[in-house]
Amino acid sequence: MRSGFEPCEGGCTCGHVRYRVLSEPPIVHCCHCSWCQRQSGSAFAVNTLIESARVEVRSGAVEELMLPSPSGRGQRIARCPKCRIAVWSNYHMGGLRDHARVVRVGTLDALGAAAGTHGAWKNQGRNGQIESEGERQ
Amino acid sequence: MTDPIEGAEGGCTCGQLRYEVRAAPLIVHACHCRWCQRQTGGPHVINALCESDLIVLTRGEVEEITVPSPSGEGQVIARCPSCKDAIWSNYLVTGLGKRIRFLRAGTLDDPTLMPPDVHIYTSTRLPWYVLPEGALAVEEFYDTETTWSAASIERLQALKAAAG
Repeated sequence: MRSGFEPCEGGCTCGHVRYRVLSEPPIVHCCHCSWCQRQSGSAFAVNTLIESARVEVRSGAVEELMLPSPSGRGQRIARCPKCRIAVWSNYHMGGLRDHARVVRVGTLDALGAAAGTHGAWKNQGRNGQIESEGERQ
Repeated sequence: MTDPIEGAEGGCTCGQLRYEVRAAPLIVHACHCRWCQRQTGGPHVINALCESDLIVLTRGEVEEITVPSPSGEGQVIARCPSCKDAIWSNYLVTGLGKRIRFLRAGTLDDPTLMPPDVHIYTSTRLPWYVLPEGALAVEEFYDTETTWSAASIERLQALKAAAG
């Protein structure tokens, strides 16, 4: 994250689901795994990991779907029940599933608030290079 | 770029939807607009544009959801009815309606088959995202006549003629 974090808001594309991130996420991943590529339809996902209690749902109730994941323990994706945009996921994460959300950074209203810090699983990366401040990925 | 790409198949995460792409894409966009960022949750989408009848579902049926779009005309997103992964979109502003699909290239089994030809709406590019060296990139949109290949323009004209 950039320094000087301030609470920020985001949501789905139809506006039904709105959320607020209350504190600075411990880390932001750019994940180039083939699962994130397929789920986003793009080159990589930008996921910020944060305590579930620090993501407040302001409006709308998410619809949760359990899907297969690379670990074999499953990934629960939270989507808007109307426009189906995914806003976060919960991975098993050694038993932390219900306590940590992996928020899709692209759903934030102000993207300047977040920056990728780790090129996770970069060996599966492809077109589109990423570079966080001072660090070539 | 008119010959089909060998092995251009893809599908959703749960496997209920499978498709084949039976021609090279007309063009491939990496779109950095805020709408694509929100819909993917990532820095940009990768959309491979192709005639709808050349992207063939080989398994399953899509669920279509109309959402707002920057043009105001709306965008239809085709998703797997089970896992909800988005596979392609139709932008209703194009005048070609459902005759052209914007395939999400990340859903290909081998997404390296369709790298971006052009990065668009880089005016809202994430500040830390570095464009590949030498990549064609525009702040908003480009001029089709000078950006698409001659073969793709010919295919576009055929699409327009069919649409009337």
